[in-house]
Amino acid sequence: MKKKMVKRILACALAATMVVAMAGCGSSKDTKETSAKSGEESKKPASVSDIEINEAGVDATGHEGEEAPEGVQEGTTYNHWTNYDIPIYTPWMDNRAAVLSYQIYDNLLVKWRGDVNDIRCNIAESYEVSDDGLVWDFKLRDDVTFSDGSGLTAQDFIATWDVMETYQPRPFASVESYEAVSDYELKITLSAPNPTFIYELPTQNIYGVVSHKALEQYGPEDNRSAVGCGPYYVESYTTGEKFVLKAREDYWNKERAPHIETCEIDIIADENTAMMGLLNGELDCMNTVDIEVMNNLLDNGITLALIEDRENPFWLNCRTVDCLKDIKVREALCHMIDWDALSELVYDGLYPHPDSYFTGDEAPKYSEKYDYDPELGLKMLDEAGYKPEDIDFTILADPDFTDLEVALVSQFNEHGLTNIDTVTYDGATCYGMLKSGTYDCFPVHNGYDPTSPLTPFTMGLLEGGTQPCMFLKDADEAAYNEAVAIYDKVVSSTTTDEYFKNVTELENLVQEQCLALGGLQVIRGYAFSDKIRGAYVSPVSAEIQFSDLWVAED
Amino acid sequence: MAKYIIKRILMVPVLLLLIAMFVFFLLNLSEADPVLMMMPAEYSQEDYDEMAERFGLDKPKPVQFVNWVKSAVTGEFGTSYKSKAAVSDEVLYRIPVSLKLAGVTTLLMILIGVPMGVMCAVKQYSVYDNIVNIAAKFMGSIPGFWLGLMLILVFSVNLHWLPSFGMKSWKSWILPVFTFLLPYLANYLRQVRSAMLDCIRQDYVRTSRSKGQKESVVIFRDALKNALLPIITLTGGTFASMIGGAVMIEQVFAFPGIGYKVLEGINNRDMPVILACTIILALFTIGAQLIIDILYAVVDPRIRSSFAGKKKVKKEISTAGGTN
Amino acid sequence: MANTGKDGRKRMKKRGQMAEAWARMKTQPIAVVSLAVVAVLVLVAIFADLIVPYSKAITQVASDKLLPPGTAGHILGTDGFGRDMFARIIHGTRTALEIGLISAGASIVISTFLACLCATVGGWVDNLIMRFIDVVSCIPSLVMALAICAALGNGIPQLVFALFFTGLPMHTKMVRSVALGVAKMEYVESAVALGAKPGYIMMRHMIPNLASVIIINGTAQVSMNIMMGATLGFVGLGVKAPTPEWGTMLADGLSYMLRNQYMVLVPGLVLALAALFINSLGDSLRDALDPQLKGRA
Repeated sequence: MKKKMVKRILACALAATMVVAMAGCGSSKDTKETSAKSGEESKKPASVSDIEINEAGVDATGHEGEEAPEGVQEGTTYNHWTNYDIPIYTPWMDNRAAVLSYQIYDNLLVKWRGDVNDIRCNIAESYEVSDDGLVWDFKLRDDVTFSDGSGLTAQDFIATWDVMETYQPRPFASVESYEAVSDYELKITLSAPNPTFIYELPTQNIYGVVSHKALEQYGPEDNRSAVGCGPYYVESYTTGEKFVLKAREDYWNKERAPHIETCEIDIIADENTAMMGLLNGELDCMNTVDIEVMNNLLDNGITLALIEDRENPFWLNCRTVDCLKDIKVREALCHMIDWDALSELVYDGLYPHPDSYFTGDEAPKYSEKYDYDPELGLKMLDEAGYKPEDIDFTILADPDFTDLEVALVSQFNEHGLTNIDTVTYDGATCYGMLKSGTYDCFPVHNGYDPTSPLTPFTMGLLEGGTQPCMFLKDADEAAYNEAVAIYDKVVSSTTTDEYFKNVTELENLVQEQCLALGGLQVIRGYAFSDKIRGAYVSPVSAEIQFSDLWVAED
Repeated sequence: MAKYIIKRILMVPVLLLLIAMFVFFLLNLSEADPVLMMMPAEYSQEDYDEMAERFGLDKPKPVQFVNWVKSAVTGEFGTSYKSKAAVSDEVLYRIPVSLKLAGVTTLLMILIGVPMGVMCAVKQYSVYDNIVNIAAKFMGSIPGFWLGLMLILVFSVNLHWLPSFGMKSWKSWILPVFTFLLPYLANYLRQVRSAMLDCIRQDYVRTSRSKGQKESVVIFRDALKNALLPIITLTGGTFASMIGGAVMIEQVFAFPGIGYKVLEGINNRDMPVILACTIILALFTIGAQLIIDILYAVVDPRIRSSFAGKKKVKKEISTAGGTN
Repeated sequence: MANTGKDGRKRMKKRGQMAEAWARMKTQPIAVVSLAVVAVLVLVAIFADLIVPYSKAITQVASDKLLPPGTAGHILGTDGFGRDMFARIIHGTRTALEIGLISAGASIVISTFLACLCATVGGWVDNLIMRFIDVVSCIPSLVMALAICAALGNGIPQLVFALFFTGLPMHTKMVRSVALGVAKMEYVESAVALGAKPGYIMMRHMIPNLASVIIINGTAQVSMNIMMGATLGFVGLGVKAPTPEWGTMLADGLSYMLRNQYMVLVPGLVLALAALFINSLGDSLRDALDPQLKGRA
C-alpha cells in the first residue's frame, strides 16, 4: 500500500520537475520580450537589413561628429573581443594578430581612421617618389620613441624588414632593396613600378617597426622583441585569457594620441558567450557574421554597424574531382544555385549577391552562364553524360560560414544531386587544405589583399601558390596560360589606367573560364557598448585603431 | 607493501610512454599535412623543406616520436605548429587553473554529495530518496554546454548578478563550478548512496542495531565509517576524471584551463599541443589513481593483509580499484 | 559498482533468469514507463519514414523560417533554415539511436570478448589486453573522442568509432572483473579440468553469467554515447550537416536562444528526456537482473 503512494508521489514529482523546467524557460522568454520592447522605444532600426553599410572613416558607434577629449582619459577601460589566442605577437608571426598589432606597432604611413583612400604620414615626415615610380624616399620624424623609451632611427626599419622578409616574403616581392641613407632617411627601391605599394605600406603587420635592439637581443620569436612605437603597449598577457594594453602618455604623434587608458583584449572562443558578455556590459565590442547574433544584439537595443567584408566565391577543384574538369558540369552547377534564396534563407537577405566575383567599378559582370535555371542545369548535366548522382564532391566549410554551406548543399540535394555534401574544419585546417589542394570546393575570396584595393589575385596564378585559379590549369591548360600571360601584363603595368585595363581583362577570363559557383558578399556586424565613441572600422580588413576610441562622459 | 608502491610508481613512465605512442599514432591518422598549414600563402619547395626540417617533420614518423620523447623528458613539449610558441609555456600555465576548477568542484561535491547520499541511503525508498534520485538522473542528463549558456543567459544577461566569462574575481567561478558540478554530483550522490547501502546491510550494522544503539550512532559510527573507503575511492576517481572533463565548461566560460587548450589544439590540428595536453591530463589521471590505490592498500586491513599473500591477488585488487 | 554478485551467484538458465527479471520489472511503474518510452523511441527510429518523410527534415523553405511551435503544419515550429523541427526531431531520433546503439553495442561486444579472453585464457593474453586498456583509460574519454573525430574527420561512421573506442576500456575492466569471478566457479573450473576449449567455456558459461552486467552497462553506455555525440556536435565534430541529429540541432539552436527559445528547448528536452529514460531503464534493469543489489534490505 505504502509503496503505491510513493510511486504516485514520484510520478507527481517527475511531472512537477517538467512543469518547473518549462515554466522557468517560459518566464525567461517573457523578460526577453519586454526588454525587446524597451529597445524599440528608442527608435532603433527594427531589423538588420534596415541599417546602412558603414562607410570608411565614419564612426561605427553612430556618434559621428562628436569631439574626442584631449589626452588620456584617466581610469577608462575598453574591453575588446577576440576568439583566438596570439601567443607570439611580434608583427611578422601571425597574420590574424591585426587586432593587436594595429595598437602596438606604427608605420611610415597610416590609413587615417581606417580609410584606404586617406593615407597620411606617420613616422615618415614626408616622402618623395621618383618619376619612374621606382625609388621611394622617406624622411623620418626625429621624435619617435618606442614604448621602452628609446628613440627610433632608420636602422630599426632595416632590422625589422630583414626579419619580416623571411617570414612574409610576398609583400616584399616587388621590393628590390631598402637602405638607411641616414639616421632619419630611408630609401626603398622597387624592381618594377607597383601601383599597389602605397596601399601596402601602412599595413602594421607587414611594414610595422620594432626596436632593433630588442630584436637583436631576443630574436624574432619572442614577445620581448615586440617593442613597438604605437600608441599602446602590452602591459600583461595571460595565455588563453587576455591582453592588457596601456596607453602611452609620451606617445609622439599628437594627432593619433590614445584616449582610453586601459584596453583589454579578452580571448573567448565561443561567440554566444561573447555576445552575452557584451549584453552584460563586460565587453565593449564584438563583431559577427551571424545574422542571428546581430538580431539578438539589435533586440537588446545595441547599436549595430555593418561593414562590408569580402566576397567568397565557391571555387571548384578539378584536380581532386574528375567530373568538374568538364566546363559543362561547372556551368550546370552554376545554374542550380539560387543565391538570392540562399541569402534570404541564411542571412535574412542581408548579404547581397553581387554580379561579379570581383569588386570595383571595372569588375566584369556575370554572363548568362551564372543565371539561375535548374532545369537547364539538369539538361546540361545530361548532355555532358552525367546523372545527377554522379556529381560527387564535398564542400569544405569554415566554421564562420557553415550555415551557408549547409543551405547550399541542401539546395543541390533538392535538385537530385544527392552526393554533394559538406564538412567543417577549423580555419587553420581549411587553410592547410587550401594550400595542399586536398579539398573539392571551398569559398575563398579571389585573392585580393584586403589591405590594398589594387593587388591582383596573385595567389591564384602562381605555381606553388595556393588559390583556386590554379585549377584552371587542370581543366583547360590553354585558358590557364592565357590568364598567366595577362597576369604578367598586370604586374608590369606602369600606370593605374593600364593596370585597371589589364586587371579587368584578367578578371573576365577567370570569371568565364573558372566558373566557380559565385558567392555572397559578406557583411560583418559590429556592436559597441553605449559609452564608446570613435570606432573607425576599416572595410574588408576590419581593423580598429584603439587610439581613436574614447569614452563618452555623462 | 613498499614493493607494491615502488612497482606502481615505476609503471608510470612506461604507461606515459605508451599513451604518448598511442596518441601520436592516432593523430597521424589525419591526412592534413602540418607543414603546409604553417606555410605562408606563397612558398617554394625550399621554404617547405626548410619548415619541415625546422619542426623535424622531414624525418620518418618513428624518429619524430623518439625526438619528441627525448625533449619531453626535459620538460620541453615542442613548438606549437599554430603559434610557433613553446608548448610548455602555453600549457603549464593552465594546469593550476584546471586543478583549481576540479578541486573546488570536488570539494563542493563532497560537501553536498556525501550528506545527501547518506540521507538517501538511510531513508531508502522514502519520498526524499526518490525525489533526489530522479532529480539526480535528470541533472545527469543535461548537456553541460547547454546548461552553461542557459545559466549565463539567466544570471549574467537577465539578472546581471554574475560575470559571463573569464576569471576576473571569485564571482567568475560560481557559474562554471556550478555547471561543472551538477552532472558529477548527480552521479556521485547516487554512488555514495549505494556504497552506504552496502554498509548498512552488513552484519555488524545489524548487530549494532540489535544491541540497542542509537540510530545516529549506528549510521555515523558503524556504517559511514565503513563506507568511507569506497567513498574515498569514488571521490579520487571523480577528481581524476574532472581534470580532463572540463573541456566544454572551459570553452563556454572562456576559462583558460587545459581543456580549453586541448580543444583549441584539436581545432587547429596542432599536434604538439594535443600531445602535451593529453600527456599532462593522463599524468594527473594516473597520479590520482595511484594515490587512491596506495591509500586503499594502506587503509584497508583486508587488503593490507593480502599483500602478504600471493602475487595474483594484488593484481586483482589494483584493477578492481581502477574500475570505479 | 556493478561488480558485486560475483560471490556465489547461482547459475540460472538464460530464459529463466530473463523471465524472472521481467516479472520483477513489471511491478515497477518507473521501469515500465522507461521501457515504454525507450520502446517508443526505437519504434520512432525504425518507422521514422512512415511518420514523416525524410525530405521534410532537410527541405529548406526561406519563407517558413523560424515559425513558432504550434503553427499549422509545423507542430514544433521550424528552424533557421525553415526546416520542420518535428521532422528533424523524428529523424534525429534515428541518427541518435543509431549512434548510441551501434557504438555502445560494439563496445559491449568487443569488450565482452576481450574480458572473456582475459578470464579464460589468462596469462600473457590477459596481461597484454589489460595493459592496453590501462593505457587507453588514462586518456580522458572526451579528449579521446575529440582527438579521434579530429583525426578521422566528420561523419557518422567516424563518430561511432570514436564513441565505441572511448567506451571500450571501462567495459572491459568491469566485465573482466565479473568474468574472473565466473571463471573461478567450481563448475567452470571442472569444465576446464575436463578439457573444454576456451571458446566453449566462453559461450556456454561466461556469456549467460555476464548477461546482466552486459545489459546494465550497455544501457548506460547508450545514453552516455548519445550525450557525448551531442557534445561533439556542439564543437563541430561529428555528424555531417544537414543530417538531423539532436546534438547538432541543439548546438545550432544556441544562437537563437534569446529570440526563439523553442530552438534550444525542443532538442534540449528531447535529448535530456531520452537520456533520462534510457538511464532509468538501465537502473530498473539492474534492480531486476541483480536483485541482491536491491532486495537485500
